[in-house]
Amino acid sequence: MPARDFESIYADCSRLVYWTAYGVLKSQADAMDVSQNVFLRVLKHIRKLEEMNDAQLRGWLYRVTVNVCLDLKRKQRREVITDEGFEALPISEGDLPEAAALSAEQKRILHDAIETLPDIYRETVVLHYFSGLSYDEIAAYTGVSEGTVKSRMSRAKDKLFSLLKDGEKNG
Amino acid sequence: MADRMDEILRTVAQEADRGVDYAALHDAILVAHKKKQRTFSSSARMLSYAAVFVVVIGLGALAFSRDLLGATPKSTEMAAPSNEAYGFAAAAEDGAQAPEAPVAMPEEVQRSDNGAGDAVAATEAPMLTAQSITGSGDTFTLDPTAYAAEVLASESAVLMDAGTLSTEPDKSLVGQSLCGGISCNTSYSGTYIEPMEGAPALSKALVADYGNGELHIYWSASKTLHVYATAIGYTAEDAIALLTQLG
Repeated sequence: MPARDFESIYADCSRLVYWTAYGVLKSQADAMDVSQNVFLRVLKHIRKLEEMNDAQLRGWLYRVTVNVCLDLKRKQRREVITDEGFEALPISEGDLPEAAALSAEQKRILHDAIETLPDIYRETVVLHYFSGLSYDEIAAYTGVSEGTVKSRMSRAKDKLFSLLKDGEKNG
Repeated sequence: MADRMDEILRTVAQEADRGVDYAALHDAILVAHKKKQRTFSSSARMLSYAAVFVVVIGLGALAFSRDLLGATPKSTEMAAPSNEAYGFAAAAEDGAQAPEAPVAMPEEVQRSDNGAGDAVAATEAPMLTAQSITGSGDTFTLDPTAYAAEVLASESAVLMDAGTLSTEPDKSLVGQSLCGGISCNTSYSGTYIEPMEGAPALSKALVADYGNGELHIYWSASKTLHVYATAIGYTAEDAIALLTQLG
């Protein structure tokens, strides 16, 4: 069993935690907050985590990250309900000044397109490309079969391609 | 198309990951961890202080309550019969109202001037014999040995010169006397015997007539012998009738 401390855990798994959080929350700031909370839990349970193998550790981190994200989403939902009275004016995406700039950059369009994907597709894409997980790891962490993961990934690519094409046409 | 999309996604992901400041995140985690530890340690310290404070307060309250409990018997001891006997005698000489008398007398009071300070002297006293009882023919028996100490105490405290008896009865003193008082007899004059409300039940009584107008009534209540004196004009028969009624 390899000797493991917080620094090694952070070096190996920080990308997994951050992009998992980002895949759920679609916000860099929230992903940073969640990552901080998750690694604080790592420090709290460091003795238990030191005895885990890599797969167990990454699985534990993934579950904790998703749970923290869901807690944050519930909290944000409550806050949005609370703030509804202060934001009565509806704002459409076309009114935002960044909309024209986004249409100019292909990568940026793709990045935004990822965020528009349904949750199960976005989760698969982010975990594979951003967090660096293999298909079998994604299958293990999300509780589905590896074939389902591959199927979701294929559909996600088709969706992103069409979105990219639409973006290029609009741009 | 799939290979091209896969390559594009990898490129996008790598560029996005390069934009993440993992070093800042690492520092923020350690700072938050230290802050959390400080908060926890300060909370633990405050809790320990609070626990110590509670324990100290509890011990103080316990010690205070024990002091209070310890002070109560002391105050009771201050009012012990041994000290009151002298007070009763002094008050009686002044003619003042005597308080409720104790049931037992101290050794100093038990010893008389003629040296009759033992049980033999008590049993030899004429007023304690059954033959001295006069009146309606009822016989009251009393075992002198069973009440030797009390008889001795009563004798020493009550025997008096009939000439010192006053003529004005004092109901309150009589009542107290029937309730168990003995020293009050020194200021009581005589023809007045009546039970005080709530007087103790009388189990045995003995009436001794000295023939000089002084009548001594001994009665036992709760194994305590009491002495009562009357002056001329009050017969033993009346006293016995009264005692029978009380008993």
